[in-house]
Amino acid sequence: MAKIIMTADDSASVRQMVAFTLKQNGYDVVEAVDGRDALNKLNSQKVDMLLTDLNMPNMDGIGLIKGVRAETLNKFIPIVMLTTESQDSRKAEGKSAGATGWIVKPFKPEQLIAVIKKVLG
Amino acid sequence: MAFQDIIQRATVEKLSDWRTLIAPSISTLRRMATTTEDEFLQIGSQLQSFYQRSTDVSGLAGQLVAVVSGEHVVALTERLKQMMGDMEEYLVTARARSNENCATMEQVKTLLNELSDPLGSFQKMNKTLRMLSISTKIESARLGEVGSGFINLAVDVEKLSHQVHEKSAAILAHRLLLATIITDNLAGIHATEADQDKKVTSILRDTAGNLQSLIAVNERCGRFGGTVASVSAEVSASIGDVVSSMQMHDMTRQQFEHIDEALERLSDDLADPSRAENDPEHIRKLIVEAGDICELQEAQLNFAAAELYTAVCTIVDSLREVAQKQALIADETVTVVGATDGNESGSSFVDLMSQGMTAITAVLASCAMADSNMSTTMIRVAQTIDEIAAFVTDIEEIGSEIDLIALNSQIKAALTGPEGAALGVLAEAIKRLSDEAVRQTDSVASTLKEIHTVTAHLLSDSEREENLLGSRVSAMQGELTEILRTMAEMNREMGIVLSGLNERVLSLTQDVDQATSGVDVHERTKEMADSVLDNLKLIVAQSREIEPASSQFKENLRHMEEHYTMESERHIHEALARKRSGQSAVVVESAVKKEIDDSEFGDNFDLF
Repeated sequence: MAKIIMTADDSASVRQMVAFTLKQNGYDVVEAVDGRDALNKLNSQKVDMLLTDLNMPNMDGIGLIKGVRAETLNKFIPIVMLTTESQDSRKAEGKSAGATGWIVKPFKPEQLIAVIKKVLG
Repeated sequence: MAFQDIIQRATVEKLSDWRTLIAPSISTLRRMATTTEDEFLQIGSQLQSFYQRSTDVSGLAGQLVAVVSGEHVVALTERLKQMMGDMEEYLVTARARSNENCATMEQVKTLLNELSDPLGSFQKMNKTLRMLSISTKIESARLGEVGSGFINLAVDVEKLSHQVHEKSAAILAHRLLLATIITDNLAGIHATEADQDKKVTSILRDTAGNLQSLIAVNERCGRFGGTVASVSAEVSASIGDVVSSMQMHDMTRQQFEHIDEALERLSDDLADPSRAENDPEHIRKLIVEAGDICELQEAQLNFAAAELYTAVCTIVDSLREVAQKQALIADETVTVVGATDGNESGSSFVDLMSQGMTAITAVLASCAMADSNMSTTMIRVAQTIDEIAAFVTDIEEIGSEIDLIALNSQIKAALTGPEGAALGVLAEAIKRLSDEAVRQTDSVASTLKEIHTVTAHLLSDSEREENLLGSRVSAMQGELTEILRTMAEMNREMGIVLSGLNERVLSLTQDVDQATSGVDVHERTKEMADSVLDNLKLIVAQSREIEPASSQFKENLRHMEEHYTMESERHIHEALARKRSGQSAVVVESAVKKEIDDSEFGDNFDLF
């Protein structure tokens, strides 16, 4: 059974490329347009992993991570930030909130897949 | 108004002018950030289809290669080699047998010629018997009553002369018939053999060539698998470049937004000229700030616009490369599998081989027919010889009768006394004829026996060989039918896959062309960026003219540096700051072209 990965990003073109890359490699994809949308969907759907942008309207990536870690359904899923941010202070913030990893955009498909495989074991 | 006041008022007006320039620039930047994503999404929505279709083309190329390579082709090659060997062996055997038959028939022909003399003697004997019959009648009439018994004798001799004539004529007719059959048959055999030799030589040469083609195709296909894999990897890399470049829209959008924010803030600072009029130091700071901010935003915008331009070019070029590579691989596949090898009609070498194999079937059928004709001829020769032998037996019997008549004549002549002396001479002559008939009959019989022996041997061999060769021809024809079926199947599969391959490549190329030919988002963005850059350059030039650039650039814009989210933005900021402070500038590279380092996931990944 294919693993389900959620991608949360306010950029439609980034979500499109993440979904394309994941589907090409046999994953099922759930899309969310921002942190709040992602959290709503995660309350009703079990996923295996979350890829989230940092800067999003309504709820940013850090808020989303905190929200996910606080609830039970997807509390322990790996969460990888996928963002243009590369500052160490922001990474530390993400780590502290409960992020599993941090990828700076732009990603290459094979690199993203390698990271996902590593994270999902 | 003092001169200083005039300058100050002019400067304040300049600040207002700059604000007027910044307003449309902000509006343009917002358009750049918000109105360009649709074209990216449009291409992105087709990327899945392009990739899938590209993969399908690679798959079909592999499928086409598999049709004409692999173990089944090796097996076919072996069968063809075996087939060629069998054919050559068969033809050698058939030719040897044909030569033997021809030699035998030539021998029969020579033996038939030997019948000419004895048959000529029979004709002479016929004349002599008729003369003797007449002479006997005359002598019998001269003797009158005494020679009356010789009349019957004369009649018998005449009858025998007729019979000798009749039988020898029949033998002669049969001999001529045989000679004609043999001559015609030999001519036919020689003509057929010459034709077969020509065809077989040509076919064997072609088949050997086709066999080499098949082996070469198989070898090429073996190597070509690596090329297909390599092109597939290149296509994946191109698709990877598209995926990376597509993300540049989001990245440059953020950069445009950051420039927008910086200009918005500058516009706000320039919004209160009344305060500026009363504070010359504030005016000076505003001028420096405007110069610094606009110079920095000019650099940021230049970089971001160039990145977007490059990204769109990469997307378009990469997608076209994918289509071109697949078109190329399709072309190479067609060549590698031999679909255009050595022919102008576009048919495959398999098709040509099939034609060659069909021709071989026709030649084998012709060989079988020639064998059959030869056997029929030999049977006919043997039958004719048997018929001649029957006539010879008849002549032998006639010779015995002549002998009896001669004896009877001699006895009657002796009984007649001296008057019958002449009849005695006639009886002697009949006796000599009888002896001659026996001698000539023996000669004919001996020759016929010889012919019979030769043809009987030939007939027996002919039946045996015909059966043997016939079964070999049948076996070869069966094998050929099987090979042809395999080839037809290969050809059919090649045709289907080739048609699908060409169709998909054409459709992929057309759709990629259609999807990319209308892409002008990079040109439009560049145009918009240029209009903003013109305004920024003007502000920078005017501000620097009033107040030269400060070495405190970095300090002045530190608040801005803290708002950057991207490494490239910080690099540009740092580069400009170093330039202003007299240090050498750092080089800012495109984020798209950053190479992944040696670590497992690249240098843009951290696992906590």
